[in-house]
Amino acid sequence: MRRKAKLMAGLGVIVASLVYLVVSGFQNTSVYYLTVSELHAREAAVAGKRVKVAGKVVAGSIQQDRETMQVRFRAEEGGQVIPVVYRGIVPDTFKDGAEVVLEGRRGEDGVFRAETLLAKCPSKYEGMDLEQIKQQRRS
Amino acid sequence: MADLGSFAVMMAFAVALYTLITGAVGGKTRRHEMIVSAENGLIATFGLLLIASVALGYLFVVKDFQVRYVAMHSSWDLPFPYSVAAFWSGMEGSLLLWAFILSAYGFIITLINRRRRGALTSYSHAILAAVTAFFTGVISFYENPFARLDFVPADGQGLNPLLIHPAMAIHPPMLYLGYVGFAVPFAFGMAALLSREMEEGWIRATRRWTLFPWFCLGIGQLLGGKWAYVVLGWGGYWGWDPVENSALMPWLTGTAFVHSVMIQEKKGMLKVWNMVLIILTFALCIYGTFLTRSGVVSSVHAFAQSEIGPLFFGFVALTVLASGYLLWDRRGLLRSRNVFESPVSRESGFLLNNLMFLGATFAVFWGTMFPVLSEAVTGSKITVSAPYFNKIMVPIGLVLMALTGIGPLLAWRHTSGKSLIRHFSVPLLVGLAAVVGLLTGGVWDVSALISFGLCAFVTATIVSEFHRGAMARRSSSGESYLAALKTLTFRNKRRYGGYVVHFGAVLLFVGFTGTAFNAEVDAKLRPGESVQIRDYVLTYKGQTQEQNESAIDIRAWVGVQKDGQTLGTMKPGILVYYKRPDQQRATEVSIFSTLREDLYAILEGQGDDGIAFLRIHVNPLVAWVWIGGFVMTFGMIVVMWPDRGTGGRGREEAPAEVQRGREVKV
Repeated sequence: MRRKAKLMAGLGVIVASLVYLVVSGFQNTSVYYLTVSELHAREAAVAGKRVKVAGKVVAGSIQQDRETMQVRFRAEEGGQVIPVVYRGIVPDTFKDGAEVVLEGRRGEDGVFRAETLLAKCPSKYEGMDLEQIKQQRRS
Repeated sequence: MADLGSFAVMMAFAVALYTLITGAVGGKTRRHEMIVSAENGLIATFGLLLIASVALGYLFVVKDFQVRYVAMHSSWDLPFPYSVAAFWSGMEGSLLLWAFILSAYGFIITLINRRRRGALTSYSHAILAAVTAFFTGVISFYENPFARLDFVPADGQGLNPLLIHPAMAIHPPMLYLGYVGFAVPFAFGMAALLSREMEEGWIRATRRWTLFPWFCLGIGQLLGGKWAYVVLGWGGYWGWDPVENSALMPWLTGTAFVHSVMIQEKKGMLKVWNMVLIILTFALCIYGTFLTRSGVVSSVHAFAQSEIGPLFFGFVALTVLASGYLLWDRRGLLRSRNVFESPVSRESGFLLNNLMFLGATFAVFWGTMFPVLSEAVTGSKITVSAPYFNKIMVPIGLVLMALTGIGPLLAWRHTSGKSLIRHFSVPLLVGLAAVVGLLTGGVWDVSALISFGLCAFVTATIVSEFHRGAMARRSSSGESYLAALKTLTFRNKRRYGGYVVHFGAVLLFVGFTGTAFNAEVDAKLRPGESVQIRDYVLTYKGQTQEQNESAIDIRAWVGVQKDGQTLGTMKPGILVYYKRPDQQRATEVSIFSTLREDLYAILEGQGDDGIAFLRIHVNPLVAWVWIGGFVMTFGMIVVMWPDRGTGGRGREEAPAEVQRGREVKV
C-alpha cells in the first residue's frame, strides 16, 4: 500500500505540474475574440488591450500604400464599421468582402491597428456557387 | 454511373446495418452461421463501397459535370493525376473515401480473423459495421457526391489551384488511413469488453492495425506541413490552427496508446488505461471531423461548413458514452496482473510517457476549444494562439525527448544504479559535449541548448544499443559487424525498428528546434538594389511576366550570394488565375534548401517602376523535419516487415514474452 501511495504522489506531482503549465500558459497569451459590433459595445473594457476582431472587408475600402507597405481598409459586422490599418503582407485571400480576423489594438483615434491579419475567402475550397454560373449561362 | 454509385452507397448502408445486427447476435449467441454471415456482410460492404468509389473515380475521369460534386471540383483543363485526386478535395468525396477505407480495413480484418472465429471477432465486425453504417448513412442522406444538377455546365469550377500539389494529393488519403484505421483497435477493444475475452488477444490481434494508422496519421500531418510550407507561403509549416490541432490530438493519444499497449502485452498492467486511450483516440478522430466541418471554431482553413456537424457531434457523444459505460460495467475484468515496483523501471518510463502525451493532448484540446468554452461560460470569447501552444508544448516535448532516450534502456520491474551508469554514462557525456560545443559556437538559447543536448543524448543511446547488440551477436555467431547489425535488427524488428522510429523523432526535434533561430526581413527593392539577411545578400534584378493557359505568372528574379559566392537565382512569384471568377492569386515561394537552413523568398507584391516587395525568411534546420519523416517511415517499414514463414501476422517474439508474463502471474 505504501508503494501505491508513493506512486500516486508521484503521479500527482506530475499532473499538477502539467496543469500549472497549462494555466500559466494562458497568462499573456489569451486575448478576447470579438466581432466588430461587440468591439463597439465594449469599447471601454477593451480600450488599449490586445484583442482579436472578426469582420468583413467593406467593398471598395481597401487602400494599399506601396511605399510604406501599409494597408488601410474598413471592416464591418452587425451594422458597425471600424477603420483598420495594417502594415505587412496581406494574404492572397484578402479582398473585398473577405472575412478577416485581425489581432491588435484599437487606438484612441478609433483606428484599429492590426498586427496580424488573417483572411478567409468564404468560397476558398468550394469554388463559385453553381447558381451563379446558371444565371450567367441564362443571361 | 451516378445512379449506380448512389445505389451502391445506399446498399452498403443497408448491409452495414445488417452486419451490425448479425455480428452482435453472433457475438452474443456464438452461433456459427451468424458469425459467418457478419463476415460476409463486411465483405459485401467493401464490395459495394468499392463499386461506389470506382463510379465516382470514373465520373471524375470522364469529367461528367452534370454531377454536382464533379462540377464543383474539376474542370476541363485539370491535368490527369489531379483530376482523380479531386475525388477527395471536397466533403462528399472525402466521406466516401473515408467509408471506403474503413470497409477495406474491415475486409482485410475479416480475412485475417477467419482463423480465430469467435465472439471477439464477431463483435468487432459488428462495431466496424456500426461505424461504416454511420458514414454511409451520412453520405446517402446528407452529403451525396452523386447528386445531379438539372443542367449540364459547360465547364466545372476547377480544383482550387492551392490544392494542385503532390503533397496535397496524398495528404488527405494518408490522414484518412490514420483516422479510419484507429476504428480497428477500437472495435477490437470494445469487442473484448463485450465478449469478456479479456486476455491480451485483442491487443496482439490489432498491434499492426494500431501502428499502421498511427504512422499514416503522423506522415499525413507532415505532408500537410510540407504543403503549407511550399504552397501557402507564410514561411512556416505548422501554425496551431484548429484544423491542424484536430489531427494532432488523436495522434498524441494514439502515440500514448502504441507505447502503453506494450506494457499490457508484457506485464498485463494498465488494462483500463489502454481502453481509455483507444476510446479517446477513436473519439478524437471523429471529433476532428466534427471540428473542421461544423464551424464551431474559426480557422484560416475555410472548409465548407455543413449540416453534418451535429450528426458527428452526436456520434462522438454516443461513442464516448456507450464505450464509457461498457468499460465501467466490465471494469472487474480488467484487473492488473502486476504492480509498479520501482520508480526507476520501464513501466514507470511508459507511464510518464503516457502522462506527457495525455497532458499535451489536454493542452491542445483546451487551447483549441477555449474560445467556445469561454463563450459558453462567461459570454465572451477568449482565444489563444501559437505563443500559448509553444509555451506548453516545448517543455512537454523536451521531457518526451528525454524519455525517448531513457525509457527503452530501463529494465522491466526495477533498474539498478549500476545498470543506469553502464547504459547512460557515455550518452550523457555525448549530450553534455554537444551542449558545450554549441555554447562555444555561440548558441545561447536555453531551450534550444537543452533540446540539442537531449537530441545528442538520445542519438547516443540509440547508436550504443545497436552497437552493443551487434558486438554481442558478432562474438556469438562470428558474423561480420554489418551482417550482425542486419540480423539483429530483423530478428527483433519491433525493438530495433522502434529505435529507428525514435531516431526519426530526434531528427524532427532538431528541425523543430531550428525555429528558435528563424530570421526574416521585409524589403522594398528597385531593380539593382540588395537586401542582406544573415550571411546572404539578395539582389533584385527585375521582373518577368508570362501568361499561360490558366494563370498570369509574375516572377521576381533575385540573385543570391553568400560570403561573396554566387549561389544562383531565386524566382519567387505570384500567380493570378485570371480565368477564375474570383481572380484568385497564389503565392509561389522560392526556396533554397540546404541541410543547414532554408532561404525562403516570397514576392508580396509589385510597385511602380518595377519595384518588388519581398519577404525573406531564413529557416534553420527545416530540412531535418522532412528527413525525420523519411527516417520514421523507414523505421516503420522495419517494424511492420512481415515475418518469414508465418505469413506476416505479427506473431514475432510476442508469444514468448506473453508466456513470461503469464509466469509472473502464477
